Amino acid sequence: MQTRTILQPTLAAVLFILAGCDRFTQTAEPSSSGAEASAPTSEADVSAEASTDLSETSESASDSASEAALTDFPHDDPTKLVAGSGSGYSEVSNWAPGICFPIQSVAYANSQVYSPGGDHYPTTSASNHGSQCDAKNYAYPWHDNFCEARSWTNPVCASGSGHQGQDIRPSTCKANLYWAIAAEDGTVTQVGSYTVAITGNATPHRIYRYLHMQKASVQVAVGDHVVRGQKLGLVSNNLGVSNGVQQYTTIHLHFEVRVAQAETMSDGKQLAANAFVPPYAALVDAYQRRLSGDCAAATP
Amino acid sequence: MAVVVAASTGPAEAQTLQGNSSPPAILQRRPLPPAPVQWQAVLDRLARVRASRQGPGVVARLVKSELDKTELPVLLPREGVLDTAKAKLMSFGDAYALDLPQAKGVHITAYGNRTFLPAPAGAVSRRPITRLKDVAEDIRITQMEDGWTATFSRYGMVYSLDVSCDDAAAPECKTDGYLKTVITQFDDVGLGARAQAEAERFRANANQTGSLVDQLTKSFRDLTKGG
Ligand SMILES: [Zn+2]
Repeated sequence: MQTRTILQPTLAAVLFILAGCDRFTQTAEPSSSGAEASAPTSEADVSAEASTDLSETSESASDSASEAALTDFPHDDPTKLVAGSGSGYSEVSNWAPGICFPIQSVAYANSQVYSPGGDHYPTTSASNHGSQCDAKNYAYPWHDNFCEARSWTNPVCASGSGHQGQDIRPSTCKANLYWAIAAEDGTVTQVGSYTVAITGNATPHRIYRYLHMQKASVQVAVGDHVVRGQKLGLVSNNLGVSNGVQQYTTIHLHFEVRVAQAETMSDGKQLAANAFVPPYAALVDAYQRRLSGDCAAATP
Repeated sequence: MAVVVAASTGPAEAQTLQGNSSPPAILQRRPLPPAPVQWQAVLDRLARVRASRQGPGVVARLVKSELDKTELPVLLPREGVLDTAKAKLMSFGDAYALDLPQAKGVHITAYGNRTFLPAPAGAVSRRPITRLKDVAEDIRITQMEDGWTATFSRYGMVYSLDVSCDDAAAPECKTDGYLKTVITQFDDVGLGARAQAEAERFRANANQTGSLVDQLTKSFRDLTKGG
């Protein structure tokens, strides 16, 4: 069961300052901290939530966090993609309740392709799409980009294909500075040239995949046990190599959640498969908890 | 943001606990109870592969402690085509991952799991399926950012096979052709101590049920003999 208390904006601002200031001094840049601190205070809809959901106990990802109060921040609703960026999806679930927000710093979930510096960012010039370091990319509100137009099949998307994760920019437009951290206690089950996968130790054993970290900074190897909040590697623009040539993307973390799902058919039989699921709702919840102190201190 | 709690039977029993009308309701999905292993199918497969292969198979190359704590059947490639020298099993008891590094920066990762989250209608059934020669199950193949993944249900469990390549231009990642080969190779199965004990219990029960049926048939025959 969930209860919600809407705090007065003034109290919420104080709450943010109290809870938010020291937490990000490790990683936030002095030049950007002013903008970060001012954003939530201008947002009237700030709330705190207390969860007393006892039926969550089978999911360890939520154990340490379920009692924390929540601080809200400006974000678009789940499924609301940037106009013209894709078909979107309709079914909204928190597929990974209680996770630790996967970047240690302040962060901005948004599109890499339909934002400044992205190939499909609308500008008057056909070739110049602006800079990925544009201030618009490093500001709230967050935008969902699961199901953003891609050729990859994705049955969750209205069009049947689309982006399989959520893209998140770190605090500032600097590569190799901000840590990606473990969402849940787990085991590292894949390490590629620009991919790290962690499988949650607890049921339902979600598979979290982190893409584009700086290869040299990756702290983990296949078989390693990680704890919630542990440093995995630095958020970067690494897109691996193609024909031996290093490829680059924008500076961001591509974060995926995959779960084993079962659909109950009309005859009562279950049809089961692994599937990518939208991480946005879980990330919003995780970031609200982060702003209230969850798992930020867990990282050494 | 409205929060909705879905019972494990699915969103139909969801209940809105908060009255905020504009943002979409967010479902919390509880895991279903662990799916039962179809042991008869496992035993049949084991009998077939043991008859066809020479030696113990790839299962002998796995770390015993990881294998032994695994409740579910571990899908394994037959020997010969895939490199299994560095096979690494990571067990969670009721789920596992198997890392199978290949030459030239090609990675195969296999996942097995018996805990499912209830999915919305169409989530699985709407996905396109692929049928492969000598593979009984419907396979669902998806291209990923860094490679390909296939998922299918076997023995009542959910399995995935991922292929990713350090060099995106590698032929193993250009198309799903290599992944399809990998799937056909994964027709062996390994059981650790826990799974073996389960399989034995199943066999004993099946035999008991079998002999009970025999006895009942015999009694019935005895009863009707004089008539
Ligand atoms: Zn992405």
